[in-house]
Amino acid sequence: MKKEDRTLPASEDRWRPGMGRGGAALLARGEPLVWLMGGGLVVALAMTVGLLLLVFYQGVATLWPGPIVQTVLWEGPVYMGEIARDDHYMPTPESVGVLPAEAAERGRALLAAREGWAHRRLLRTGNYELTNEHFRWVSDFQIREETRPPWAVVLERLTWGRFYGTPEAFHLYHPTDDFADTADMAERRRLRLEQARRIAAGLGADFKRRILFAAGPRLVETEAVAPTAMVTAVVEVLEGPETVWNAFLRHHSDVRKRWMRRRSLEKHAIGRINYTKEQARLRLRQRELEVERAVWRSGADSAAAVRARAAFEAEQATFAQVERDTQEAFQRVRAEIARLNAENSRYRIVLRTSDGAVKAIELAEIVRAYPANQLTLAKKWGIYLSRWREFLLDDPREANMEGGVFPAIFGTVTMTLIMSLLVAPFGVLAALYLREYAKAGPLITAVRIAINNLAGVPSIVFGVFGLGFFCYFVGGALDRAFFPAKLPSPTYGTGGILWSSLTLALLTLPVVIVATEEALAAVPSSMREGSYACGASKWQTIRRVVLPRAMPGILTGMILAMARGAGEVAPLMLVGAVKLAPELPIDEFFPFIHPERSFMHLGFHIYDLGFQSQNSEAAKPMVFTTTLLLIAIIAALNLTAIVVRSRLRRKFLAGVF
Amino acid sequence: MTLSDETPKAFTGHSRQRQTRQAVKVAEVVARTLISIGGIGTIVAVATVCVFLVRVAIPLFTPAHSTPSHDVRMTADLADRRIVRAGADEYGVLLWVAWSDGAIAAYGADTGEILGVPQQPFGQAPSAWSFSPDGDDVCVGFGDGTVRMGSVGVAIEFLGDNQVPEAVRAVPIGERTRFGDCIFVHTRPGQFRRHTLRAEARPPLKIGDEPVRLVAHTLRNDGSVVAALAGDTLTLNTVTEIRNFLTGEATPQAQRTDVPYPVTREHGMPLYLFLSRLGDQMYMAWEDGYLRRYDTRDRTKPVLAEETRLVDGAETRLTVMGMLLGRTTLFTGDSSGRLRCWFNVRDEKSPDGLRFLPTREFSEFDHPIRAAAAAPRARLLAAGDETGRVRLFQVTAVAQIAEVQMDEGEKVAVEAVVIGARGDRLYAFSGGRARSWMTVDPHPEITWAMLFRPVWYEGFDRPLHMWQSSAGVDSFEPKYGLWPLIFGTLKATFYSMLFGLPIALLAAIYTSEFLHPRVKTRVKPLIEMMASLPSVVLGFLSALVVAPWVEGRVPHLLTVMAAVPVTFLAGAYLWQLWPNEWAMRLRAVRAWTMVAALPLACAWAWRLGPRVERWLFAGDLMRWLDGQIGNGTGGWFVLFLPLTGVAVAYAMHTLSNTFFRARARSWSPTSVALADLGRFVGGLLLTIGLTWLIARVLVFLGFDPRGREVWHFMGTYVQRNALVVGFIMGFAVIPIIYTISEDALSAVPEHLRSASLGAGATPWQTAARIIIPTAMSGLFSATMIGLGRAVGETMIVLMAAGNTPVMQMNIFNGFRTLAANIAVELPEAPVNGTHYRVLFFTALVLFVMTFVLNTAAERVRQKFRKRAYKL
Repeated sequence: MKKEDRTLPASEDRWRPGMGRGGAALLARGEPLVWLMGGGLVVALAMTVGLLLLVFYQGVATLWPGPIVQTVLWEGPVYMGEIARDDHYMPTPESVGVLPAEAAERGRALLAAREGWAHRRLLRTGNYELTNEHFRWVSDFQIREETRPPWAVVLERLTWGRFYGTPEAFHLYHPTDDFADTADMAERRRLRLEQARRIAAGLGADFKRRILFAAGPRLVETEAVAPTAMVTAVVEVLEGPETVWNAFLRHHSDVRKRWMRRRSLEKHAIGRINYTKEQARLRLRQRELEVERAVWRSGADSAAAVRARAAFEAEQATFAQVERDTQEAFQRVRAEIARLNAENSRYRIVLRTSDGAVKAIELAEIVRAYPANQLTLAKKWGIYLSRWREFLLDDPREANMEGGVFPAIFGTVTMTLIMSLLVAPFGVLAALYLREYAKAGPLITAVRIAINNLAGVPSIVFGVFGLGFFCYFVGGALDRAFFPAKLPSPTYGTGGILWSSLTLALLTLPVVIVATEEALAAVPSSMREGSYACGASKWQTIRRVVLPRAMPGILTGMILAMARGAGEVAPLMLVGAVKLAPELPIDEFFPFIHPERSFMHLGFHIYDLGFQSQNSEAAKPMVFTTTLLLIAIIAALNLTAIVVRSRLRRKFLAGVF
Repeated sequence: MTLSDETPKAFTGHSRQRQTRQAVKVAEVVARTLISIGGIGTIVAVATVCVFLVRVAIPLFTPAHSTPSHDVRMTADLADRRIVRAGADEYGVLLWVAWSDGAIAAYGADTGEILGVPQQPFGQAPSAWSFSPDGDDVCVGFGDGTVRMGSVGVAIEFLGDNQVPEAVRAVPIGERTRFGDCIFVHTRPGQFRRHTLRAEARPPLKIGDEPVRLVAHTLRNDGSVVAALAGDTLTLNTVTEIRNFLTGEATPQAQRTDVPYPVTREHGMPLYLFLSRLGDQMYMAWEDGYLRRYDTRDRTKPVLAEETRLVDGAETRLTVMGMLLGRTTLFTGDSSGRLRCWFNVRDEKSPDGLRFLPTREFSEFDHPIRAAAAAPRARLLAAGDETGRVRLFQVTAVAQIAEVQMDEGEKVAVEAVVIGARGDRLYAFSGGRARSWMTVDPHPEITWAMLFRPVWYEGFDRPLHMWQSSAGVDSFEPKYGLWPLIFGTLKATFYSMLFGLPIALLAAIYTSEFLHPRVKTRVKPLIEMMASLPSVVLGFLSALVVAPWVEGRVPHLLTVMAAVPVTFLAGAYLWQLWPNEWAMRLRAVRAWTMVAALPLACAWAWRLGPRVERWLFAGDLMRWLDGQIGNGTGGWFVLFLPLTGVAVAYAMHTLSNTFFRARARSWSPTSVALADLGRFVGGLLLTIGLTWLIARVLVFLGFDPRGREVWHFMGTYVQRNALVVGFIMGFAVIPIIYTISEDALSAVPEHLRSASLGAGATPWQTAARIIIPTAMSGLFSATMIGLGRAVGETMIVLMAAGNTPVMQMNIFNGFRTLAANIAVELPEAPVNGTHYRVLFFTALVLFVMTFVLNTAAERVRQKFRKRAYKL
């Protein structure tokens, strides 16, 4: 308020026309330079706001289900897909020239009207296994006809990315037994055919569905089965887009449930089996090492060596037993998985692509499917939210380009938490020491300058230090001392979440120290002196008076450090963030927390997807969403800092009089 | 709290305590100790960072030291035979010597005891030998006109307990023993290492009838190439093996080409014959130092490409010659004690485009060199002279690593030298004696000069600064010149500061001096938000969004860059046209007008873009940048426009302002404003005209801003370039500089401001003459800290700068910075290897760079703080 009054130029206020110095006063206002400065601010603000809006828009919009467009080009090909983005470019004259005369004429006119610029759209055409491309640019002047086919369907699949097509048929397989105990092939064929006939008779065809036999890769009419063909299944075939779609909707959720069960078996049951086996192997190797050590120390025939050898042999027996047990358990789980797979492979949907190819896809392959051009707004929202849910809670698939980022969120949060647990006590202790205990002198001044300096040291330097010191030096020593059984594969001797947290703790330490020191300095000395006067000891004063009072500042420093740590990627690239970490750093296996494991990180995920992935165009939507998430996390931390500071400050303002 | 019965109760209800409780005392001591330990520990931890970096980097520069390890007499009959070649295994356990009579004998390196019977793989005494500098393969020629390929080397096998003879098993761990013709070393419990000399010969191949006098060979993927001097005919043979299907026996077959140039005798005897790795060059040298180089790229048509002399002076004789690892460089030693390395460099004038030049010279020896040998896996060269002095050199670094004496007493000539495969052992032979030394220099290829001076690498035509740390082939020599990386760092910093610094400073001044405080509380956090944007996000945006978008729109963007300041200035001059009362009333609108000016500027610049491209860049910027069309005028114009703009503004300010001001006194404000507008337009036209003139003059003088030299500011367009990095890095440096300088400006005491305004100065005058000079050191320190951030920024440059370590100022080209280089290469560098340590050294360089910048900033800021207190 005060400043506003001050900045009002008093001289201009009192200026009256005809005072004589008018022209000079105008010059004294320095209008051009003021505008230049204002321009600087406007540019800076425009940059910030523009960037945030770009990220926000792209991140929010990318999961929204768009319509499917089918374009028929003048040259013949038909493309169908979602519009990923559009832009303007300058086509070469040849690209217009290849069109038929009439279209070329119109194209040229269009270009001429826009000074040579043409509008084009990037269609996400999917169907990678058929076309070997995910995207295709389509310029407006190339298009002969554009439609939105009502039954165009998007399939999000586990592999090969998206598929665009119209439902053609739905296949429900009823497999026949393979009669493996019958040795004669002809007999087996006959038995299977007989069984197939029985199944077919039980099903009974009607006007909606046809019954076919699957013989090898082909489907044949029930009557037309060649005598040499092995009938593997009876297939109910539903046709017509709507029927097919309804059948799909009816069966898909069950198939998905079975698939989830299968994945959970693979992840947990097999994970546990492997874990048990690995533990047994490590114990065995440990005994082996003990034998070696005993022989080394006291000779091959010493009592120690004999004892160690006996222990080793006992362990060998245990290991064999464990191996048998796990093998058995493994077989059981595999059988269950095979059963689920067999059941799931009964359901297939057949789609016809825009260029006429037909493709049968197992329902188990399909994560999500919807007829994009028929969606109501509510359904669109449903898909949008379900995609967000998948993004936030699911594992990534397709080289991280699809699926979710849950492991990365988990890794980022865990790493940041461990980092703040490490940095908080040490940062506060260091600040307390510097401010309250150390004797002021040139040394302390130098230390303070050094700490301020450290805040400006590039983060990659900390990464280099972390790699050399924590991973190789400390981690290597730990491995040799405590995990010799696992060598030469490193346990702590490589990048991991603990080392990442420590490195970032070191990186953010100056932030916490400086913030805490400032907060401590801001506590009025009168309060300290008052406390001493009441007979409190130094520690009592610090604990009861200084620290509570400095708490807002300390907390702010902490949260700012967390925000900085969460967004830092360069050092993590060296000390533990990886593209894909199959195991979370916290899981159900003893000792539950695994600080030596490498982990996924949102920032590194962005780097990896945007920079290292084969198909950066397909990865772009994912990167934008991840970016939005990361910025949201950091902004939330920053906002928390601001709120905490203001609330605590208010509390103290109320408490102090 | 317990109450004792005797103490009277105070009115608070608690008893009074006259003594401090023990718990408090203990807590006090514990707290003091803990805090001190924690605090000092933290500070120590921080110091560890620097110490550790130094510790890892230091071994790069530690000088070598060599210690004698063995001095043995070889148990062998020396009667009239000499050493042709000697070798050692990589552990320094077994030595072998090929004698001139064709015998190849193995010796224990520690005892000199001969192992088994000398082998005679070739059956008869060869008349010519050719050893590979980096492999086990050999080729020998005989008096009957045949040659035989073969191999000589030490085979090392790791064996378990049960695979070694009983007698060997008792050997203590770490010790070695001789067993038959091999040596066993007990490495660790249950593991032995067996060293055996393995000499094999393949079937002979007839290449002529006359005795073979010289032979050279090389192994290619598609067969071997053997050059041989038989009698007086030099032949080049491509040898392929025909395998007999029935017996499985391989018979070599040669495709022989006679080299048409007669072997001359006027230079004495031809002594040496060599083939390059691919067999595309052949060298023959005579004893007086005369050398012929044949171009054998077409093996059926060898061409004499060059004749030269390898020694200076008529009396000097060539005494040793050989090839270095990779078979590109030849080394020569002569009777004057000079050791040189030669390779082919590009030369337009020579018939085959190459020229054989001495590129390194070692003149440490004073006596004739008698023996020299190259290391098989490093560019090390050892040589021994007549007086028994042996020296070890790193060739690329032109540095002497070790110097030892064969014999302290009498001077004996060195007959052969060997460098161990790991480069850590040196052997010298003389008169049936072998001496060995351990030379400890883990990183011989790194010297200060190698890091910071131009180095003449193999295959280049001049010394260069180069960074190239890895490649596919084994014989590749890593190039660790740091300047391209430092240059890249400075380039990134320069362009990002060029863009970010003016915006940040101008915005800070405006925020602090001209913005309404209420607006300021909104605006400042918004820009600070920018500071907390993770740099990986910026990097991703720059690489995947900005860079592809910019690619087709460079002329537009260049126009926008010029248009934005011009539009703001034009806005100001037009704003002045308001009568004063209006200007006062419209103050609130002014800020919004400024906001509107930006899109306006972009819009008209956008429309002008294609026209600018036509005027300046001949209608197609990309091809213009390639140098295909147009001349340099447009480039110079773009470069000089901002400079002349500032110069003209300054000139008009100093020259015409006083004059104008004096006149303006009597004019009405509107006419002053109009005149001022005229002045602005005039200045604008003058700027454009002057810049055009400068550009024309420069082009007339023959300068072109396009090219591939360091100082060319423009050149071939690369999608990920300095322009994009500069712009995006702006997002990283602007908020930092902005925040710190705004704080510094706001920290200028209120009374100064009030006094100035009270004395009748306008806010602009107050800002320019009072506030900015007072806060100057704060602004300086903000700039320094911004510089520090730009220097160390990793993710943005890693993703958006293309990472090619080239030294070009070209704004449309990529670069590689120290930080990005570490991020790219450190994960792949083997721990404690040279590459790893060099990367640690670059981290240290980065650390020091930012440390200097930050310390400067900190010092200035403290000074500023002190001065501000005084005010």
